[in-house]
Parts: sequence; C-alpha cells; structure tokens
Amino acid sequence: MNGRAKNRAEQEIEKEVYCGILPVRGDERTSGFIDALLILSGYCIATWSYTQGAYLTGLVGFKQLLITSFAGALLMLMIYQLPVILSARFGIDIWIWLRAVFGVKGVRIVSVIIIIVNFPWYAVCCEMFASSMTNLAAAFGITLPGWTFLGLKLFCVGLGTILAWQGVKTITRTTRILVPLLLAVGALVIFIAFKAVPFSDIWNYQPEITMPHSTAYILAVEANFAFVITLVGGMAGVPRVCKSEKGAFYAGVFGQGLSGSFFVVVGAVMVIAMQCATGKVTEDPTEMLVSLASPVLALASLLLVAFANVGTQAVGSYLYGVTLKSTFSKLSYHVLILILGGYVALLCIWGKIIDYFGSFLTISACIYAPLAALLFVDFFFIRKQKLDFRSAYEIKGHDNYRYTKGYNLIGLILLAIGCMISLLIYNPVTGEIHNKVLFLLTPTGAALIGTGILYLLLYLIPGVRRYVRKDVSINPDTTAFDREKTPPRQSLILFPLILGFCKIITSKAKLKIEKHDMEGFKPPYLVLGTHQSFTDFYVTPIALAPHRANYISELEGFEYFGEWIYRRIGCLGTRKFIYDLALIRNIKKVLDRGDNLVIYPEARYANVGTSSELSMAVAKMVKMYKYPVVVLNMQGNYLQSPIWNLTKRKEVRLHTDMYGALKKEDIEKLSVKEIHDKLEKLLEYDEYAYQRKENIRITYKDRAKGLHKPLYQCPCCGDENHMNSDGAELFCEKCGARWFKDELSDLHLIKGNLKFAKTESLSGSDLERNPAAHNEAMENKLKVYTDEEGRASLHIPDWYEWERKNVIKEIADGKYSFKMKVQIDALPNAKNFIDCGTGELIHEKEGFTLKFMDYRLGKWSEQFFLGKSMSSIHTEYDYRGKGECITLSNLDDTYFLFPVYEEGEEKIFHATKLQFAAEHFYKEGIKK
Amino acid sequence: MDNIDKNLLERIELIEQEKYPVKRMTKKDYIEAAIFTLLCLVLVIGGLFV
Repeated sequence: MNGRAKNRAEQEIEKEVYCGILPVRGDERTSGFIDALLILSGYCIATWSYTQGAYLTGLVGFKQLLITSFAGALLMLMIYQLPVILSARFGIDIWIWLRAVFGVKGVRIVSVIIIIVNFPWYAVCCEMFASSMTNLAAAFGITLPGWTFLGLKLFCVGLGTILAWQGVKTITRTTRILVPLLLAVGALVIFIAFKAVPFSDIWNYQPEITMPHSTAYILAVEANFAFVITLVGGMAGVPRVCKSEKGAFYAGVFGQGLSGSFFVVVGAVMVIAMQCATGKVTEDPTEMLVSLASPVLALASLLLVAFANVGTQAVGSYLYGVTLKSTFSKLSYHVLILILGGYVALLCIWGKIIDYFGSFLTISACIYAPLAALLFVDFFFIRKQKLDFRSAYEIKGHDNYRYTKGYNLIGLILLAIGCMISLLIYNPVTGEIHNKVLFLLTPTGAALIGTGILYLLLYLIPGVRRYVRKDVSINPDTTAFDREKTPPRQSLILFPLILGFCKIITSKAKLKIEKHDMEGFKPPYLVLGTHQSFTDFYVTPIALAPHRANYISELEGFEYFGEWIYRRIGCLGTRKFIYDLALIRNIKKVLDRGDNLVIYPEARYANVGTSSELSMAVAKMVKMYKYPVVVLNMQGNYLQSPIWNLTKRKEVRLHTDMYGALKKEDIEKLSVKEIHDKLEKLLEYDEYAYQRKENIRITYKDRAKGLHKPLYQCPCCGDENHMNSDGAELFCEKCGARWFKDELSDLHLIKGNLKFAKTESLSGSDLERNPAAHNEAMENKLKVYTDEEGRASLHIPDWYEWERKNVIKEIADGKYSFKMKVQIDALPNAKNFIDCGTGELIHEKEGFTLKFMDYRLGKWSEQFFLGKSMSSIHTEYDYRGKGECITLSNLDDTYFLFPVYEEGEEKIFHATKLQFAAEHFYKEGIKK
Repeated sequence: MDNIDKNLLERIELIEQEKYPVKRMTKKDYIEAAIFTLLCLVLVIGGLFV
C-alpha cells in the first residue's frame, strides 16, 4: 500500500474508532477523568435543568430538594452507570453488548425506540435556546419578528450538529472551555439569588401542596431518578474513550450527579428567589435573571446558558450517532448525525414539543429503567463481564447472538414487562398511585429492581439459561459436579405432584402394574429397573408408591432440568460406565436412612427393545449392601417411544411386573453368581415379543423412521454406511434393498436379495423364542422366516444381534479399526457444556483414545479410557438435535463425541457398532 | 475482507489477549462505590423525615 493510500486507510480506521463501532484500543484512549467529566457535564447542563428545578420546587422544600437532587441522582447513577466499566474495558459502546441482551436484530429496534423517545429532549433545548434569545432581545428593547423563533431553534440544531460532525476531539476542546464557564455562571446565579432574597427565605422554603408530604417527596425522588436515567442510552459513548474504568465510571456519576444536579438546584433557587422577590412563579431563566440582576449580567449569564443547549445538542448527537452506528453500521457517522439533526429540526418545526413533553417523559422513563436493569444484570451476573465479540460483531460463523431469527425473545419480553411495572405502580398522566407499597421504591426504582430480579430468576430455569447463554463457551463454569454431596430425600412437597404428573402421563397408555412376591418387602430396598425410555421415570414412582425413593441419574439430566429441582425429586448424579466410589457411598447413605434407591443397571435406553447383559458388579453391590431387592420389569416403554424415534405411539399399552426378588436372608444365602443369574432373569425383556403377545398394532406412519440407526448394516449387501429409513420402510441406498415394517414390528424384504447374510430359517415355534439366548448357540446367521406373502422376514432384535456378531468377527479377524475426527462437548457439571472443538477419537482393543484440547489443562492432550473398565458405552442416536454420538467419561467430565465428516466422506460413525466393539473388548479384557 | 473488517478482527484478538489493557476497578474501588451508594441511599431515605 503506498503512503497516500495508507494514510487514507488509517484515517478511515480512526474515523470508525471514534465515530463508529470499532473497539477503541487502550493506547488510543483520549479522555482522562477530567475531560470525560467535562464532556458529560456539558451534556447534562442545559436549560432543561431549570425546568426540572422549577418542577421540584412545586413538590418539596429546599432542604429536601437538595437531598433528592444530589443524593437521589447520585444513588441512581452509582447503580446504573456501573456497566460503563465494560465500555472502558473493551472500548465498545453498550449497544454492542446489548446485542447479547436483545439479539443482533432486536437491539436495532430497541436503539431506535430509545432515540425516538430521547431526542425530544434536544428539541426542548432548542425551544429554550430560542425563547432565551427572544426574551433577552426584548429585555434590550428589541422585538424579534415571529419567524426568527423557528430560525433560532434551527440555528441551535445546526450549530450542535456542526460540532458533533467534528467528532469527540472537537467536543472535548469545546467543553474544556464551556463547562467551567457554565459552572461559574451557576455559582454566580446562586450568588445573585441569595443576594436578592434573605438566605433563610430560600433555606426554609416550603411549597403549598395538596398531596401528602411523603407522596410529594417520593415523586421528587422519582423525578430525579427519571431525569438521570434518561441518559442511559448514550452513557457509554464517552467511557469507551476513557483511560481507566474508575475514571469512566465516576465521570458519568459526577458529571450528571453533581454538575447536572447543581444546575437543577440553580434552577430551583432562581424560582424560589423569584417567588420570594416578586411573588411570580416562572421557570424562564431569562425572566428570572433580568428581574433579579442587571440586564448586562443577565445577558452574559444567559448567553452562556443558552449555548449550553448547543453543547448538549452536540454531545447528544455524537453519542446517539455512535449508538446508531452500532445499529446501521453500513451508514456513515456523518449521515447519521444529519438524520438525527433532521429529526430534531422536524420536532422544532412542529413546535408543540413543550405541550406534549409530559407524554414523551412518561414513555421514555418507562423504557430506560428496564434497559438499565437488563444491562446491569447481564454484565455482572449473566455473562459475568465476558462477551463473545465475534458474535457481537456478527463475524461470519459466529452466531451466538442470533437467538430466534436475530431476536432474543427473553430480553425483549423482559424489557416489555419492565416497562409495564412502572405503569402498574403509578399513572404519570393522572397522578394516580396504583400500588402504595411499591411506590415507595419510586416507579423507576421499582422497574429497575423488578426487571433485574426477574431476569435473574428466569436465568435459573435451565431452558432459559441455555437460550440466553449460547455463548457459554467464552466463560464456562468448569467446576466438576459434586459427586460427594449427600443426596437429599425426595421432597415430600413435590412427591404428590410427581405422582400426579406421572399418573397423567401414563394414563392414556393404561398402565397396569402387577406385583409378585412382594409380601414382607418394606423400605428400604434396592430397586432395579429395566431401562427402555424416559417413560421408565414416570412408571417407577407409581409402582413404588406410596414410598418415596432416590434415583441414580446421569448428569446430563441435571444439566437439562436443573440441579436444584433434580436433587429435590430424588436424583443422585453420576456418569455412565465409570468407577464412582462416591456413588457407592451415597447409595449406602440413602438405604441406611431408610429410603428406597432405584437403579437402572443397563444405564442406557434399550436400542432395539431387548435387555442388555447385567453386569456382575450389580450382584456384588447387592451382596455388599445386604438390603432387599425389588425388580421392576417394565413392558411397552420402549415400544411407546423408542430411542431411535421418540414420537409416542398411541396404541401401546404399558405393563409392569414388580417382583420381590431377594430378601435379606436370600442375599446372605446366595453367592454373587446366583444373585446375578436370578436378577438377570427377572430383568430380561423383549419388547417385540411383548408386542406380539399383546397384539399391539402400531399404525404410526413413520414407525420405521430412524430404525437405520441401530440397524446400520445391510444384510443384503453387507454395507454399513448406507442404511436409511423413512415412513414404514428401512432401505439400503447402496444396493437398493427395502424392508417394510409391519404393524407388529416385523421387517419384510420387499426389494432385494439376502445375498450377504448367512441365514437360518425359523420355524413357527422359533418365532417366540428369546433371541438373546438363541444367538449364543448359533453361528452368525441371520434368523429369517418366510411370511404368508413369501417374503423373507425377520425380527428387529435378530438383525441387531447379527450386527453384533459381525463386529465380533471383524475384531477376531483383526480388521476392526476406528479412527476419526470428532466434535467434543464436555459436561463437567449441571450448569453448562463446554465446547472443546474438534479432536480425534481412536478405538482399539485396549480402549478409547481421545486427542483434543483439554480445557482443564489448557492444552492439547490425550485421554485414554481403558476398555476393561467400561462394560459398555453410552450411545445417542440424535442428541438434542445434534445427531448421533457416544459419550466417554471420567470422574469429572463426560465427553459427548459427535462425528465430523469431511466433504464427501462416507458416514462411518455408528454409535451402535462402537458400543458392540466396546462391550466385546470389555469381556475379553476381564477374562485376562 | 475490507480494511475495516480486517482491523475489527485484529482489535477483537487484542481484546481477547488483553493487550493494551486499561486500569481496572479494583476490589477496593467497588467497596468504596458500595459505601458511597449506601450513603446516598441513607440520605434519600433520611430526607423523607427532614
């Protein structure tokens, strides 16, 4: 780039920094505390201060006026100005941060609303400027023609716009001269007033009011709260160029809370002095100064005060010009300044702004307080002072702040509710107080506090938290889940609600529970349940009623529903397929205190409606604890909502057998193996056998959709990567074979030939046998039968077990290998997932190796998961809409691993195949 | 990618790396601010009885 082009580029960047939205670097800051204080003082000091002062004299005496004007303003400023720290720290305007609160599109609407309701202030300034000039001229015997009034207003707009056009550096230079002069004028005015009337007259001033004094005082406080909070929209334009956070913060607080409030008091003093000296009540400073001082002095004072309006106009245009830049980033700052100037000019031409000013003030105060509250809570508590800048600036590929089509519905709804809070407490038009208790906080204070608290409470709901914090990866909570924490008893208050809810959920499926050998079984006992779907959690409490219980639950459920509620409904958190001694201890605590403890030993939902092998560890645990064991064998839960397609099948009826399996004396008598065999038998199930036995015909039109996930290998051509499903059919996209799933869940080959799989024909009596027992005796042959239409047909579990045998053979032949890129989401606790990016997953006979960026170590590392330590792995076919995955866990983290495919790569990741291999490696491993 | 966009990315990286940091509010500053806020609150409440 040549010198001239480089210079142009640098100028362009500089323009975008100070008059745009580029973050201001630390070394580019231009304002220390004093400069920032002067700019913000210049912004606040305008003849609207006299209007405010005059208004306050109608409510409270002078002493209370001093308190509300200074302490009241400072109180509100000390709270709502705190988020300017983010502007000073990062060099950005609050409207960049507010993209996280309202969404990248939602913030545009809010910023435009803020400007529409705020800019009438500047039209008021222009009115006061023109009024002051006209009255001053009159004081010197010059009567200005009528048209000059509008001309003076537009002159004020124009001059302010010209100053703003130059940017913050020109404004800084101007306010360095203007503001000290204005403060001096203010002091002079106070001196004049106290000279014109006795000090005690002003000091002891009390207004004549018809309302209770306390109400008038609260209204005065409210007026000051509302007065300073109208500055919230532009509060960060100056702090972003400040050299320190403390300087930025206090510049805003004192610029508005001291300088601005000082002029409110000046206005009030003038009104009181005027009233005492002449008996006349006026808020026109010209009239006051001409009456109380000499015209020459008044002229000097008023010229400066009049030009304070110009300074306010200039600073306001700059601040809101930068605000609008964050909304319409493609438009130039200068164009936006002209648009703002044009808006004020139109209001001046309209000429009725003073008449309707009360309405503008009403609407604006309602919006500012909730806006300030949302910003405060979001910055300090929700996002904890961290922002995803790439998403905030809408860098391609970073969409955390897009939410719902660009709108953060939670933020926008909270803003609307916050606006209503103020109006529900007090009607500013009629003066009616609707709620006397909340009125004590003032409507602005109540809206601020109410919106803030509501945001915090909503954030506690896991679904809301996940929605609002899509950017959680920038500062995730990495604290490991507290596994040692003693599980509380299932809440007595929630228990009837849980039962009621479970009954409602299961009522349509006509749940029937049959109890066997339960005589003599009283809590505490261990409950072992089959695990087929989420319906298990609705059936179990009903079966165990009226007794409460605690439940072993995977941590993922804690994250989804929230830890607090999950513990209170009785859940103990753990991770699947790890050695968790804390869990063992907690189970014992639950049983020792007299509560039932429910375990689903399969850990994973049934893939194809058949039981998994029971781990010997369960029998060892039963032997160790010596508490009676009850078994819940549930039927229909998988059929109703299989994991590969969760849509509920309305025809399915639920049935549960509850067995008093082992009494204490049985446990003492039997060996671990005997206990294991007995329990495994009681926990055995085949959902499809149940379906045939009960003749449950499932007519759901998409009853096969998703079935290709567990049935990933085509028995016709042997290909593993091209199975698919839709409607009631399962098909191979490689060889074209198609299977039709009938209403009793059998599969019939309607296209293709069974060339690949060796088949074993089944007779009629075989159709009812237990496939798990049968397969052991057979070689890897696929069990098929011929239906009435002459089609090759089979049962889903047979296909599933055939796949398993193929994997075992592949391993035995030395052909099994797995290595691929994966996306890793770590779950350390119940609060958030942590995006660990992509890594590599390798599976061999010794176990799994995961190579990834370990957030705990802060570097690329390898974790090894020993094969013989995991009897299986957890699989998901479509985890929260993100697709198929497996999980691997250690004590402090669960890693959700999703396949990452390159362009055109075949879909080689099958969670079920990995599960088969892992289970086989485990068995082989423990044999050695 | 134009000049401004490229510069924006550079600035974001500088923020993430905490280069050119400005002086932060310390714990002491927050405590002082809290005390001052409480003082203002006490004055506002007290003003009701003046």
